Amino acid sequence: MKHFPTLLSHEIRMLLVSPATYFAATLFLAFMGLIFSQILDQYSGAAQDTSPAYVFFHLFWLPVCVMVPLLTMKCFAEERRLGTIETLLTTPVTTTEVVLGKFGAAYLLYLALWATTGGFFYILHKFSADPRFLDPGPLVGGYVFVAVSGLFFVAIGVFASSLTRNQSVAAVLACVMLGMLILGGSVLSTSAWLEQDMFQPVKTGLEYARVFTHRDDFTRGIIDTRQLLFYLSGTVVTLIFSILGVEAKLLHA
Amino acid sequence: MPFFESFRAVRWLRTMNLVLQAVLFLTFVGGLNYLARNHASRIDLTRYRRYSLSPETLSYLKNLKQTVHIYATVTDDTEIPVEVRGLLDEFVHAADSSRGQIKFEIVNVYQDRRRAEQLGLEQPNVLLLVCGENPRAVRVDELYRMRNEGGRPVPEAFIGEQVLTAAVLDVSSPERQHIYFLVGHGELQPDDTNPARGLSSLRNELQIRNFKVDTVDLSISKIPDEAALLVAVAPQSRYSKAEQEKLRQYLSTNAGRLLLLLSPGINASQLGLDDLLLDWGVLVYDDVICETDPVYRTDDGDLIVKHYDPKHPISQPLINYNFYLRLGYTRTVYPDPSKAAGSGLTTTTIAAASPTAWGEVGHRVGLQPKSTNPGNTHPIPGLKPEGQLGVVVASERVAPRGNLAFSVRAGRVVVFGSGDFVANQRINTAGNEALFLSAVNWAVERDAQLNVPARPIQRFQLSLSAADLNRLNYTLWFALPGTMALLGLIVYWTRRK
Repeated sequence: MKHFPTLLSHEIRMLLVSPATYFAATLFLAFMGLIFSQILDQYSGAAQDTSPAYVFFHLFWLPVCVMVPLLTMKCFAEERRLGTIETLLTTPVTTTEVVLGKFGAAYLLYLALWATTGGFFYILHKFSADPRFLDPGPLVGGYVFVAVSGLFFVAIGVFASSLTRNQSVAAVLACVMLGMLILGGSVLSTSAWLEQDMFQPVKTGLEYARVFTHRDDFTRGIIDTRQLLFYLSGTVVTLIFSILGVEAKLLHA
Repeated sequence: MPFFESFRAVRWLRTMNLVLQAVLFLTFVGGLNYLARNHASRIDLTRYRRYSLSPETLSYLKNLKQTVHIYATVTDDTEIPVEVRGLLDEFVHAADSSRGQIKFEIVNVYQDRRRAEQLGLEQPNVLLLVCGENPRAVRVDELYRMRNEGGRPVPEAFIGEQVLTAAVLDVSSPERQHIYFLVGHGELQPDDTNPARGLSSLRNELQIRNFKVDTVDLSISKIPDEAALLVAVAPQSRYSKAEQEKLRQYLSTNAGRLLLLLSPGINASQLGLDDLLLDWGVLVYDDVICETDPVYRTDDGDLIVKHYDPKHPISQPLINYNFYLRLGYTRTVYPDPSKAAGSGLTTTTIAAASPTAWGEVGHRVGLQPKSTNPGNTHPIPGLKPEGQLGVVVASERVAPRGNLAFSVRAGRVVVFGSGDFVANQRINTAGNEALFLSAVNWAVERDAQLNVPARPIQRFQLSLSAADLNRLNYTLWFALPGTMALLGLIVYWTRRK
């Protein structure tokens, strides 16, 4: 893994010097700012039972389904379309290093984008001068959720990108896979056919993997080691699949 | 060249190798997650550890022997409050490692009619706990300690953990508390569906709260040993000496519990209950409460009662939710002022009529109801509430235990001045149901608090002027995105140069 830092720093440098990154970040912040101000309008109208952080992080899936495919669609699809992936892999780097380098850069950018939303809470705190609005449970729990689940989401994006040479297809594929992971569990686990005794293990499995349930726990300020393991192991498996996917494609190129 | 030595075969072999590796990793991670399910820990990041269960609750849940299903009813418009949802999740997780489990399901009573009917649930915002054959319903608002603020119930503290723990213990216990309705003297009966004289709705309400409801005729059998509570609703004829003695023994020797709902028209001595009531410090008058103020009367002549003891556990739900009682014919019931305070007896007027009401005694001899008629009942000076007639009285005996520094409870009696307020046609009044169920809970000591602290309730409201709110919105819209855009421009110009 000695080439991993080199690859990662190269990927990060490429992202930082690209105006497209800032353009995407500006749009992301404008969109999230709009959502946050809508949330605060409710708090201005009537007292609410939950902190703004709780409501804010409940809408995590909205930027995830848009931003993650945009951040990751280029990773391998572009390299494969231009034919540079073969060139890259003729150098003394392994497929694992390349996948981890691209994943690391996309994930750090994803984290940086979410970290900038911390500014919204700072602005709110300055205006309201009420420390209760910085309720540590939902705030810390929400960011931990974003950070941990982001590993899995970004890995899914990287995996989608490793399957095709077309960026648009990679983005759509990532969006579909993320949608299935985030919404599919909730939809399926409430299905009537799963009520039958023979499907109980399936139902238990789906409930274990329900992203919305994990989000509810994190945004209440509860961190469950099972959920951490779910996302970490999901990330590892997805990255291994990406590595295998890249290798399989090279094998059959 | 043989196929197995060709590049094509090697390629496919390597592909198969990759697929097997994928399956291997998937199985490994699946197994890891499966194992982790039973060895999890949860960290509460909230201030005051808001969602952490108390050690007492945890020890109960870890020793749960059977699975408890909790069904939460909702509608489209209502959501389960975040505290309740969090609490239920913590219960589910805490019980995971025990032999019994807690399973939680949300039932939309309007969209999922079939499921709701299966469970016998019609109302939203109810938690139904079912363990085996034992059901117990808890209203979501029972999970909050409320205070009345300008006629509006406002949550003061979240007591969900203690209420839910008590409910789980109740349903998972093999023993169900028995409530026996007395019969044989013209009392209203629990299996009667008649709107005016039946108690079938009340029976259903008690059954859904995990009480076993039965009847007992004291003239032919003794009071069952398992009787947690006796209820006599509007008896019409005299209890024999033997029956009176059974009741007296039950209440004193066995520290029994009794709810007496005494309709006007027949006095306590005609019922043979005068000595018993005297023993428990309760005076029951032979009158009918009359009311002139239209605020305290319904269109069809029912009496509205809105005055309650501010501290007694029985009256708390009525005060917190601003419920009123709707009573038919009602008589005056008072604590006996002559009963010595040192007898270990505590009598409290739970509910009282309005200050303008009086107890009319001349109604049966054809006198026009008038507060000045001779013999009428009027408020007793010195007794609470001042200037009002009592309609419900609770009496509790606490007996000293030898030379020890503590006492033990030796029976509880609640006397209501009206008989049919729990009949099918009146039980749907929220106040009537709440009062009766609250009296039942107090009598059988279901209101006993576990040693679980109440949680504070946080409310978040932004108190900003319109101008400040506008400034805040503009700052959110433009400050951070603007900074990011500026950074992008700088990078763009730098790269162009």
